[in-house]
Amino acid sequence: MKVRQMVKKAKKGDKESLLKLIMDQKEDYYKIAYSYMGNQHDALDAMEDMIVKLYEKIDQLKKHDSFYSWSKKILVHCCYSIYRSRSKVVLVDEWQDQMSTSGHSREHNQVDKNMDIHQWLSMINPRQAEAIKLRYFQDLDYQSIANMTNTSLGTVKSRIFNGLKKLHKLSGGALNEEN
Amino acid sequence: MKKIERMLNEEKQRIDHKQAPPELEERLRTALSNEEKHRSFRIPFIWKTVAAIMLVVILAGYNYQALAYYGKRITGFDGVVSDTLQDLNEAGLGQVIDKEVPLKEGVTMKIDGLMSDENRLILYYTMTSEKGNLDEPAYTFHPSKITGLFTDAKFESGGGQMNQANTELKGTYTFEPPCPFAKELTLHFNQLNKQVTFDYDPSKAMEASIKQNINEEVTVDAGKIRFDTITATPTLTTIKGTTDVNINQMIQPFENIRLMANGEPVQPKGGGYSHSFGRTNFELEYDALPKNLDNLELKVEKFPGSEMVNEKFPLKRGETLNVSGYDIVIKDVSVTNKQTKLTVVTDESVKLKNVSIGDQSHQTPLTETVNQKLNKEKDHLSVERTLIFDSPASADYLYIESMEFMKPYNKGIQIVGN
Repeated sequence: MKVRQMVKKAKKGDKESLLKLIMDQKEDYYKIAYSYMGNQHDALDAMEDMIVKLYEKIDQLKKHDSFYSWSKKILVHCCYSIYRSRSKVVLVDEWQDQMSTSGHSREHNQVDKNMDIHQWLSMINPRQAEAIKLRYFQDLDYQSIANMTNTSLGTVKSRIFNGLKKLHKLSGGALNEEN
Repeated sequence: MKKIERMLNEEKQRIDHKQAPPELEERLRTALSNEEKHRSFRIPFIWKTVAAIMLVVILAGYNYQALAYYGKRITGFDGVVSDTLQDLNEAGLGQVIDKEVPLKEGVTMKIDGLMSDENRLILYYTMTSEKGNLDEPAYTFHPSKITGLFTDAKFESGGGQMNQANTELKGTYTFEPPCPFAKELTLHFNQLNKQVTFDYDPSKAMEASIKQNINEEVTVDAGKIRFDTITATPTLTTIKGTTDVNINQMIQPFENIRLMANGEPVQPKGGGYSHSFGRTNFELEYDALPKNLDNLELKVEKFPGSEMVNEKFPLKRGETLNVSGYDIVIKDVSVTNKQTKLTVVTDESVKLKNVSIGDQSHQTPLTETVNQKLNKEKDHLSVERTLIFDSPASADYLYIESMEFMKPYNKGIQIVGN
């Protein structure tokens, strides 16, 4: 069945059509969600949020052909919402951890050779991290990133540039020693 | 390559190899199934807009009369204008203008609106002055005319009502009708170098309901009355004509020409006449005609006429003489060593011609008439005159050769109906 027809059906409230649309490109969706969230659990949560939002808002979709770009934009948005709400939550043990090492700067304290890339990315501005993830993990060009995150091309470029610069600076001590 | 880029690339490789977990489909389906009840059936914006427009159109269309009514009415003149004008105003036949112009030293004139037809233009205005000096002559304004394209309409009449504090005057000015080509009119004042210009929509001028030639004559003793045209508009009915009867000394020669619509007299509103080349051009004004007009008749009930009397009446103080249906009251007779003064009271229209007094031996003609005084009686005007005769002797009789007076003719001209 063509995308257009399925979108039409989905618009009329057919949930299976909507599900099929997503499942047809499930790998793409999953990779976006995973690259954002960094783990399977959160990626699946983000996709759940996405499909609910799609179902609610599919009436607003004007061009049936642009279903995929539209739905991926929503996925990015869902990921970002979860990501942001998660970053506000500080688990008690982490918090106590911070307390015990008070007196050191947080950045310096947490810099660790064994940190994975997601932990590094969590230390920079989330918008910068988002742009870097889309650029590197999804191989998207600048324009696509701009479209997906509702920003201008220039903003995307500067976010990636400044984000990387910040990462280099943070990691300077810990990582460059290895080289 | 720097470490960070390397880590990013490694992560990308890792993500690329990630496969969507098999439970994905089931999780998404579950998420959707919970959502079912909350799905809102959005009504597309366009349909909401269409519905709103239709509602407005239906409501506005249904109440069009009421909206037009409030939109066009010139408000606040209930006490100032006649019933006819008020009815027309309530029917929304005026033009609302609402233009304010400062006239002089704090006095502002607001032209509220106007009403026009082929007979006249009525301007509704409000004068305001915070100083409360509108009753002073220096702040009383007299319009002279209205000008515009092919228009030079003279001021005809005006009237208004002042509030107690003399801060607001609401009134109307009546002018001759403007030319239908005028789109803009200018109001001029006497003795005030100020003009007020306002927009005028000639298409809103009310049309005449009757406009026709009468071309009929009524013959009276002293000549003929010719009725030329009738123009009946929603505000006024005007009849124009000419006469060769000498009406020079009459105060209200046309007062007994009545316009009867459906058998009822139409209220007279005024009139005027002018003389040229021995003829008198007259214009009679009546109120607007009723809507359902079956019958319209012009009735010359009375008109100045004359009659030979040729009679001697006994001259006695307090005597009332009845001549041709009119009373002549001899109020006073006094004799001095040179003159005889005779004071008589008659109807305003009565004029005695070739009067003399006398006894058996001789007759003395009238020398002059003095002390003419008008008195308002219940339903007519009476006049008191003193007739002076150069005769020191007391006389026995009063001789009247002829008399001019409002003579009943009761001649009708049918304009509408049989």
